[in-house]
Amino acid sequence: MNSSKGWGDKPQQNDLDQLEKKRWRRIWITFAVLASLPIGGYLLYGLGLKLVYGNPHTLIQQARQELTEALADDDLASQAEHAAIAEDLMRTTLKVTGNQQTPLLLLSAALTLRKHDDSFTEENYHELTDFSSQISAPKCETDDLLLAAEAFFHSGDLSRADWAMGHLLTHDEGDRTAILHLAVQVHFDLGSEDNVLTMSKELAERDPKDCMPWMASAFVYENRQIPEGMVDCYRALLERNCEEPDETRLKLVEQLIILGTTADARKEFEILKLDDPQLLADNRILEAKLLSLEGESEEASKLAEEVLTKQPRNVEALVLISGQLLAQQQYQQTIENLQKAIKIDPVHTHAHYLLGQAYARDGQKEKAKEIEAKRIAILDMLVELHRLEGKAGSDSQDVETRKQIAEMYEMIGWDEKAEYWRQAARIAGR
Amino acid sequence: MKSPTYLHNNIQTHCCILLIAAVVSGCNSGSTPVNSTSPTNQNSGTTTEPENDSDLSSDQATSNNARLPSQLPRETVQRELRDDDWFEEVAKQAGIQHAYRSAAEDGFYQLLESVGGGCSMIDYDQDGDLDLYVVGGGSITGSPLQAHGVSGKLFRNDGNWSFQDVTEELNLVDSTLFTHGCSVGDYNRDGWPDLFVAGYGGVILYRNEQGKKFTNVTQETKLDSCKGWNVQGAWVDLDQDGWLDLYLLTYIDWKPDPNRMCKNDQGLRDVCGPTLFEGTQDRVFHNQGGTSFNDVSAQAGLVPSNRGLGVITADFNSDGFPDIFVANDVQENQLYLGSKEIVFQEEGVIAGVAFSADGSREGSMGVALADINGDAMPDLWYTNYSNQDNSLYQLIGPASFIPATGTTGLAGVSREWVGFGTVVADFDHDNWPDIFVTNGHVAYDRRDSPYYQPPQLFHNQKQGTRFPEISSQGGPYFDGLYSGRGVAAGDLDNDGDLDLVIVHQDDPIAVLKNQNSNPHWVRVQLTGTKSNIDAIGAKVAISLEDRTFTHWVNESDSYNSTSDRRVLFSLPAAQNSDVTVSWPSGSIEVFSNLTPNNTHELVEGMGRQASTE
Repeated sequence: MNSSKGWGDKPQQNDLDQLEKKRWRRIWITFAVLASLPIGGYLLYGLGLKLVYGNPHTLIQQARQELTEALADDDLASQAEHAAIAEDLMRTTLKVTGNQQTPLLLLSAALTLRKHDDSFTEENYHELTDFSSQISAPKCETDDLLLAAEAFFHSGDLSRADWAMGHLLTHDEGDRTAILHLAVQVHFDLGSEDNVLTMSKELAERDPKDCMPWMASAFVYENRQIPEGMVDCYRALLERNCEEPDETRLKLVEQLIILGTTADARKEFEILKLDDPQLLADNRILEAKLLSLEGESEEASKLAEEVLTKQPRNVEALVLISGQLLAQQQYQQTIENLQKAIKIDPVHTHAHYLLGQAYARDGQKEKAKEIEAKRIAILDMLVELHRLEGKAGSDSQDVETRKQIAEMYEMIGWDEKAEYWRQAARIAGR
Repeated sequence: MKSPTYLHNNIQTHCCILLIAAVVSGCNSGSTPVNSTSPTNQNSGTTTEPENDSDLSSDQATSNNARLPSQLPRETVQRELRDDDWFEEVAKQAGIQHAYRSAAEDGFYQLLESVGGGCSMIDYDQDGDLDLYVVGGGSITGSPLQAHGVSGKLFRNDGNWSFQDVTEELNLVDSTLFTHGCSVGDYNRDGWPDLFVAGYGGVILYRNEQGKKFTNVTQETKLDSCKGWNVQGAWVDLDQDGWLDLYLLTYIDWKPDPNRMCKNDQGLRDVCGPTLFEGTQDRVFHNQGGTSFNDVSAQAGLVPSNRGLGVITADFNSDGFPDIFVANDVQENQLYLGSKEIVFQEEGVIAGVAFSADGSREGSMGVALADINGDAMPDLWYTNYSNQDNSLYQLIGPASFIPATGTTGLAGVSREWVGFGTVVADFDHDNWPDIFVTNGHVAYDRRDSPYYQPPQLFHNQKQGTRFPEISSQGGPYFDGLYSGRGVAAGDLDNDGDLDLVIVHQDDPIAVLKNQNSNPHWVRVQLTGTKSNIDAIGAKVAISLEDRTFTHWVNESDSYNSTSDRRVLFSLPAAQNSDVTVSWPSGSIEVFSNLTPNNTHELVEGMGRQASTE
């Protein structure tokens, strides 16, 4: 008994140990199984999602492709379709990946491109705001950021485009030429003209064949009325065989006339005469101005008269003839012509000046003073208009400024312009 | 290339008012101001002065400063004189060696450096040939930064193109004033022409002591109150009392500031333009019987402020009182119509000479008048800043002008350049006045228009209806590039043609001897008795071959300068001629049978009254 008890005691202890171990093993196995179930489930779920929705990487690639096609498409409806596909792809991707930067960025780009589509809802607008606020530019890939910036720019969302460009320009990554190419356009629309000139200069050095920097710089110089700058740009555009060379040469002649470089103007004019006689025929006033510069006042006047027979509302022709009539001391006719010109273009300060002078030469001093005072007032107002139009140009949603411009044109008495800006205000408000 | 759609849209919406910025900004200034309190130029007044030019040069080369004139590239003129050239440059062989010091090389980029100086043709010793006075300019140095003067020089004409520097012996050494303009007038009616010099911070009136010396009488004549930035003094008998009054042209309210920074169109520090500063009111001094001057500016009806650089006087409205045309920098010009009471009526706008032909403000500098089209009325010509035509206005009635720049082919021919001194005078002896202009920028290193520029010569053809540029026929001088300022015309060798003297910035002055020989001519020098003794304002006419040619006597014109006040006519043959003089006093006299190739002194009252003819 003792022995059995003794023998019996030992196996009992061992069994207990074994049992304890087994128990723990079971616990562990149970725990492991239980623990792996959700992970496995999750993995299975993910696999399922991938099977159902597709591979996120592929989806992102497809979205990029759609956005690229949207940006290359000039047809707005078709552009919106591409954008909608990209949007769907990225919404799906977000379901698979959660709020990751790339799909958020591309989704924002897609939504932006749909902004002007009728199907774009207020909810979409809030989504766009929400998604884009979650994007951190440094965490995005450079190419995606550039793609998004282009989408923002093309949909007129300058602030987001500027945000994206700001990162792209300050980080030495990606295709600098492509970045500058877009940045020039964004900054032009933002009204950052100094930046446009600086970036255009860099872009022209990096890509000497590119027309964009010269075109953008030309626009800046046109806006600032710097004829020397315009001439340089037009010449550069012509050297590079950029688009619409005849129109560019026409502008070149105009500026050369303004600069008074008579021989150069005549030379370019003659080239244009051979290359595109029709364009010159449509712009005969240019030849009249050139003749006037060359001192051929009578011929210039005759040509301007011809222009007027076909284009009775051609203000430049009316003013040119008036200058000649004033020199010939034919004051009444000068006054009549200038009154016509001012009716067509109420802020034509040259016409106002000549009108005042015609009255003065005709002995109507009080009337001359009145016209001159009006001219000065218009000049002041135009300075303000110039500022406001610049402001409106850099913010496509600035309704108040557009209304203000409309009111000023109304005050001047230029109803067509006033209506134009009222309409612009309505569009901006939508 | 993909077009930036929005760029197009913006341009389209802006196109109607694009011109306005240019119109409103008026004349382009030298440079655009930038906010700065710390000068990048090591040669500022708050630091040490440059030890020498080479130090300065090395500083310039490594800084964001515009290159100074001495650092700019210039080509040497190689062309030989041709037989058919109009002018030969003879300054050096004539012994006229002097350069106006602009202070540009002091390296502080101060506006004072840009104005430049002029010269006066004055027969101070009354020996019959024209002597030459040239102002000296100055320097800008010290701490605090200050303007200092450099003495002008007087060169005595000993005939046969030989001149002697007589500055010292005639007591004319004076470096108290940074000088610009000089003019000649016998203010005390003693028969000896006196000399007036204007500059930054003051003026100096030198009384001619019978050709033996000059005495500074600024204080005793009460002209020492002129402490502003004075540019030129125009002598004119405003109230027709026989005594020459003084119209003092002033520029702007300015003082040296080494910390003032302006950038040019290349983004380099350059000379600041005048638009940063307020203009000042010109001044009018009434001559008190040749002893002193009474400041009557307050009652004269002057505009409160203007930025004057050019002045000329004539009776533009035929009322018997001299009027004053003031050409302003970056501001509308004034035409002051005079009266017995010396109260002006400003009529620039109504007269048609306040703005350019299209109504723009101009940056105007030199002024001249002449009858360019043979209608016996004084037409007005003045030079302008770059991108602006120089302006020609034809007088068609009392104070009524029409623009003639375009109709005479003078549009466009000078827009590249900044015009300064100018003379409208007959250089080829057809009695039709031609035009000379000296050009030169005020900023040192602009991209759009260089500092050194070519002078221009325009030939009056078709009786004042055409002025083609004939600079290539002018002579080797016209192949060079300069920064020109003052110009005066006169017959320095008394051979019956008009020579030219041109004052440059920091370069030796040029003397251009007229090469077009004039076989037949007659010259008159007027002496007023009832009128002012210099007969300033007199109208002199000669009838030749069915045409009448007319001149006006003036003693301050062009830019900061005084030309020969004698009147020269070319004759078709060696014949005696009659000259009609309309004196400032109102009397009109005919002086008959004037022998050719001589200078005749015509004294008021000694001629035949025209009304008795």
